[in-house]
Amino acid sequence: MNSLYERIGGEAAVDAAVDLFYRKVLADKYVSRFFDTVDMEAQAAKQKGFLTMAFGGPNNYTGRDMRAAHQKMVEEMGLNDMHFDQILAHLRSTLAELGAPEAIIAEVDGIAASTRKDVMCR
Amino acid sequence: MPRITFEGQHYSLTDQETMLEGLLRQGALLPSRCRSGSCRKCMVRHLGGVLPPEISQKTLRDTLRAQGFFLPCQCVPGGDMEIAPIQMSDCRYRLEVISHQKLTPEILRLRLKPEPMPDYFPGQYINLIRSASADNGEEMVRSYSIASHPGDDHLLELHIQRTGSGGVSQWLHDVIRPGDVLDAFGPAGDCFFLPGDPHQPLLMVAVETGMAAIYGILKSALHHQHKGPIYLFHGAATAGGHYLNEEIRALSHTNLHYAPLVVEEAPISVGLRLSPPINLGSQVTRQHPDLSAMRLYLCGPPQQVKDLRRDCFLAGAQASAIYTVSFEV
Repeated sequence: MNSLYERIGGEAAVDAAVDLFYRKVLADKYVSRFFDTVDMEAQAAKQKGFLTMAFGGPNNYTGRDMRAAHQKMVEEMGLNDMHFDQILAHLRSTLAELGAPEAIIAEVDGIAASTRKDVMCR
Repeated sequence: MPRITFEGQHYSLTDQETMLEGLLRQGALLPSRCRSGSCRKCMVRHLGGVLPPEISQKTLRDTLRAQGFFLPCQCVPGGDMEIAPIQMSDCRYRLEVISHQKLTPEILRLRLKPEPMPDYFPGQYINLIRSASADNGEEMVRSYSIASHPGDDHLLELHIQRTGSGGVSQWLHDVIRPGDVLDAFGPAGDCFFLPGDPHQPLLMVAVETGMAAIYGILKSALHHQHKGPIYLFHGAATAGGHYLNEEIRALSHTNLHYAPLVVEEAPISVGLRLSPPINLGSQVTRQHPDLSAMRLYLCGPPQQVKDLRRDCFLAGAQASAIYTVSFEV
């Protein structure tokens, strides 16, 4: 069977998802401050890296990178599990809006959820 | 075997490795993180030799590409290349103060004659230096956006807002006079106009002396004979802050729509807001609810620019079509 990344539509699908996902999290006042950084394109590029990983695509993410990228948010901005859950929900909504079936959504959600420990720097 | 020149050292790359891998392997000091073209930590600037491959600039906006920026983690060069760190060159030059004009009691227009004239895009900024003295202790450096256009004359124009704590702005306002000579370095910045679709609508929002950069960008667009509509908003705390009313109305571009706006700061309250705050972003997006086809330039203090950028993005603007520059006041 093809990889999840290929089944979902590869890079073009990731690009579509990044735009939608980024608009959702920025519009959500509860989590927007974690995404509202100075360089919007760099932020979008990071989201792309993250979604590529969540879609099971080619990526160079390691747990160490995840920790380094989120350490400041956990230590100084109060990033917690409630925020993490909210962001997973936005990811599921994004996929549903792009027409992904439940099974795919669950699969992507599982990969994204598996980063919780690293993101939370535990 | 491409040879890379970086900070006076030469590095030979194997045919298979990326520039980042080759430089790090040979001990070059270059920051890096993701190595997959997303974090941009390793970004460098092309100075000479073969051009960087397209993929190494793919995720960068046009104003970065125009300055030769690229990602060495995505670059397997086709030949020899000279590169430099992205930091602004600290090579200093001198500027003679030609005119010193108070536009308002708080805003000063400086016209400066640089020696030599740096290459710049209007909207980029330069750093002015107030050297160390008995009065101010350490050397102080502040960034100011360039409001002039190279086609105007051979002077750089800056707009200086007097700030309460600003050792540089007060000094420029109160001490500096025509004939004095200042030191500076730069320019830098990626918020400037490049000709693209001549019919694309442009949205420009300046807050306070963010108008300096916007004025430069506006003149660039007109210089390139931009045909599409240009919507220009200037937000200021008081009507007196719309200090370029006359100049802008004199530009008489048939498609220029200028709207000076007075923006009040929202009162800080611990209670729940019962209606959405009316800020600059909401005033702009109420008039332009769909920004998806526009190119945007947003200039002003950091918080206002950040809020504006978010509001504009949520009103449909493409991230790559939003150019921003902000400065502390």
